[in-house]
Amino acid sequence: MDDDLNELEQVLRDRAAEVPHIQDVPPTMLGRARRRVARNAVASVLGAVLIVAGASAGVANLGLLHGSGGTIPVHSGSVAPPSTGCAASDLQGRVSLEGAMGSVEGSIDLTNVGGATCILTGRPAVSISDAQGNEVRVQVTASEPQWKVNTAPQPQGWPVVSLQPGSAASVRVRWSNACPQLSGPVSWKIDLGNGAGTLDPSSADASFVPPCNGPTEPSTLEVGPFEPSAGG
Amino acid sequence: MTDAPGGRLAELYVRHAAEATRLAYMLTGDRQLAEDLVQDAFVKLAGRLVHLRDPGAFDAYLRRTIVNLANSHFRRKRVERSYLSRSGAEPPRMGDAPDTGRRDELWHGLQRLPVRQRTAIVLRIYEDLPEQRVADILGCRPGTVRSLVSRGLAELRIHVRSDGDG
Repeated sequence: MDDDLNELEQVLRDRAAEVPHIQDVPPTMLGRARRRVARNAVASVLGAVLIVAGASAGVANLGLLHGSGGTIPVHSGSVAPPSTGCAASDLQGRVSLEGAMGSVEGSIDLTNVGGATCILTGRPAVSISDAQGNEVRVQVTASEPQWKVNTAPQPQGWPVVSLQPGSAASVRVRWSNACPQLSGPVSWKIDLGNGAGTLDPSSADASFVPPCNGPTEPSTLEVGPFEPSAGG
Repeated sequence: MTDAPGGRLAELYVRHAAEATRLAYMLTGDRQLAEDLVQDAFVKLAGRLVHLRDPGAFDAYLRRTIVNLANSHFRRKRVERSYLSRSGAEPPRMGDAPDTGRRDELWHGLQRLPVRQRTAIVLRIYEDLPEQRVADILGCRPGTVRSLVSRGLAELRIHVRSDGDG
């Protein structure tokens, strides 16, 4: 059974290797894309006109119903966050990764193992070291949180993440194009920022490294902001 | 109009097109068709780039778009085959290339599987995605993904065995 799967996986990898790295952008595709964007823009303008017209009619109806032009009170549902920032010593980290279209992606989960609620905000600094302990050179870029990628509703309180004891926050990471190809396990480090300290998260996926698809291209590491962990 | 699709799309294309083409190739078994599907996917996504500020989100959309386009392609082919069979013409069969070994048999066998089984196998085994992610892409439950993969692999074994016998 495993032999069959391994053989099939190898077949797929061999076939994938037939597709070379792509450097040139087909001009016809860009032309089609421009036309599509222009068409969408026209559709959006028409849509906006219809919405404004509909809203105006709605407001006019409200005025008729209530007999006045009073403003509608807006209720703010924001909750004051606790004031203590999480220190590295309050947290236990774990890196979970999976392969994705020539990259590895996943999250660094940080569990509050302290006795009090603390908060995390912003975006940590993440670095990777090879099996020899040398820092891997990566071009770090900021990416969006997982909830946005999943088009899920914004978590309550975000971008402040309030961590009760036992609950976890998460940072989305995606690493691409590790060149030259790394062979051994790697280790991850996360700096919480604001002098809160650094953690060496554990990982069962330490041997997960992305393939070297473009030897002349930089290795990139996308890092998201702190967000509540999907697992709680 | 600004050069938004030109500049950003070109950058995303250079970055993702090769991997996207590999995925489309796994799903279709046809390099040229795979390249066409990938270009179609980029054109489709160009209109949504303003809403996609996160480069990390792009490949999830791209993957899903390619899977959908491949499904649409095979749906159209089914209609075409059905028309051709009604009109008495012989439809061209996919995966008729001569087999030169067990690995070719596996590849051609994979291409003969129903499209959802093939997609589930490619996303699980080649893309190494967890069942939940595959389920999200296919619009089904993780249990269905397990079943699609398991049935697909069973059929693949039968294909390979019968090809080897014949």
